[in-house]
Amino acid sequence: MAKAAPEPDPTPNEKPSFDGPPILPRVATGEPAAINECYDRFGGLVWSLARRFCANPTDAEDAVQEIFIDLWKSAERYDSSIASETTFVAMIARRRLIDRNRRRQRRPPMPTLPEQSAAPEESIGQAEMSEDVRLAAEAFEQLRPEQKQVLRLAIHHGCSHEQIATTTGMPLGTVKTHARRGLIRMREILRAQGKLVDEAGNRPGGDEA
Amino acid sequence: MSQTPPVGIDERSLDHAEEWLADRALLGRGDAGSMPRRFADHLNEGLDLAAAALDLALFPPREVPPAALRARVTARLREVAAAANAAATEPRAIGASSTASTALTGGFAASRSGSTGWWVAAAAIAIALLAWLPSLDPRGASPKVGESGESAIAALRQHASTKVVACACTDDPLCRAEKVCGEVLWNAERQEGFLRLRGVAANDPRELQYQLWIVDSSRDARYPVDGGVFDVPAGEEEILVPIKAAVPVRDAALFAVSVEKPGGTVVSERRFVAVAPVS
Repeated sequence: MAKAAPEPDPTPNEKPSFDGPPILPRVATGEPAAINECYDRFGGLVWSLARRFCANPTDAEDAVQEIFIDLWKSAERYDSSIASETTFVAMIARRRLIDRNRRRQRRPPMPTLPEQSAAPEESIGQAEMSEDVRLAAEAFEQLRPEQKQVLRLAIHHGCSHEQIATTTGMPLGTVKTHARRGLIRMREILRAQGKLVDEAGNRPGGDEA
Repeated sequence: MSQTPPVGIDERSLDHAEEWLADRALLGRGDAGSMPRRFADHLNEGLDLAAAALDLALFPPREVPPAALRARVTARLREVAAAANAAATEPRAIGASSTASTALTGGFAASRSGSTGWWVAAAAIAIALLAWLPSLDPRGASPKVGESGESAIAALRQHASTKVVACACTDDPLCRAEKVCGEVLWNAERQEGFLRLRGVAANDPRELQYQLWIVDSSRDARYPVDGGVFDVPAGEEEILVPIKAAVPVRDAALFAVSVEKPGGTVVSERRFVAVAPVS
C-alpha cells in the first residue's frame, strides 16, 4: 500500500487549528480573555461531536460544558509539536463523550445495516475541511478495507468490538486486531504527514502495521 | 511491529500495551481494563490522537452550537478559572496526608434531567446509614495524627459554630471500617474543616486517588464543591485531611469521599467510599 509522502512542514512546532493562532497555551496559563476565544474557536467542533454522541440537545449542551472544563484543565498538557490543537481538542472531547456514554450505558443504537448509513466518504467530499480534517481523511483512505470497515463501525456508529463482530461476521479477535492495526496505521500515516510525532520527537516514519 | 519498543519493554509487551491503548482510544478507559503500570511511562497518546483524527475525517465538524450555549459555557469557565486562581493563592496542606487539589471546584455538569442525581444517590446512602450510626461526641478523643493537624483540629473544635458529623462507610471494599470510618469537622464561618478518616484502604496515586466533595444546599445541585484530592498512605490507619473548599460553602448538607482517577476529576465516577450527612 502506498504510503503518503512526508510533506515539508514549514512550521513544525506550530500547528494552529482552524487557521487561527494557537489558543491552548493561553488557556493553560488561565488567561481570562482566552475563554471566549477558546469557545469561539472550538465550540463548533465540540458541539458537532457532542450532538453525535448525545441523545438530545440538552445532553449535548451539558456535555459541551464538561468538555470545555476538561479542556481548561488539560490545556497545559497540549504540546504543539505532537499534534494540532484541533486534534487535541477532539481527543479530549471524545474521551469525555465516550465516558458519558459508558456511564449511562447508552451507546448509539446499533443499526441493522450500518454500512448503508450515511456514507462518510460523501460527507468528507462535501465539507469545507480544515487542513487537519483533509489530512486525516487522506490517512483513512490509506487503510486496508477491513481496517476501514471496523474503524468506521467503531467511530461512525459507536459499535463495540462485540457488535462489530456480530455485524460483520468476523471473529472477535480479528475485529480487535483490525481496530488496533488500523489505528496504529493511522498514527503512522499522520506521523508521516507531520501531524503527529512520537515521544522521541520522530516525525516521519513508522512501519506498516 | 508498529514501533521500536522502549528500553526494557519487549515487542510482545508493546503489542499488549498498544492493544490496551487502542481499546482506550475507541471504547474508553473502562473497557480497556487496567493498563500495565510498567508501560504507562513509555507510551503516549498517539492512538487517542489517531482516533480523534479519524473522527474528524469521518465527521467533519459542521454544526453550529446554539447561541445561548456560548454564554453558559464561558460563564462556567470563568467560575472555574476564578476558583483555580483563588486556590492557587491559598496554601492548603496541613499534615503529610494531603496532596494538592485539582484546584477546580464544582464542575459537575450532570444532565438537567438528572440534575440532582449523583448527590441524591449519595444522600440516600447516607440516610440509610444514619439508622445505625452511633452518635458522635463532638469533643471525642482525638485520633493519632500529626501535632500540627491536632492543634488545628483542637482549635476548630473550640469554636462554637463548628459542626461535627459522623462519616460512615459505604459498602465499597476500599472502606474496611466498621460502620463509622471517621468524622468531619466543618466551620462555615471560618470556611475551615477537617476530614478524619480511618479504615480506608491505602491507594496508589498512580492508579487512583480519593476526592472529597461537599454538597452545598445553597448552590445549584449539579455542582457540588470539590473539597480536594488526597491519598491514604500505606500503613496509615488514620489520616487527617484539611478541607479547603475553593469556593465558599454556605450550607453544607453532605460530605462525600469518592474514588477517582489520579489528580481528581470534575465529573465524579460516583464511587463513594464514605459519606457524612450534616443533620
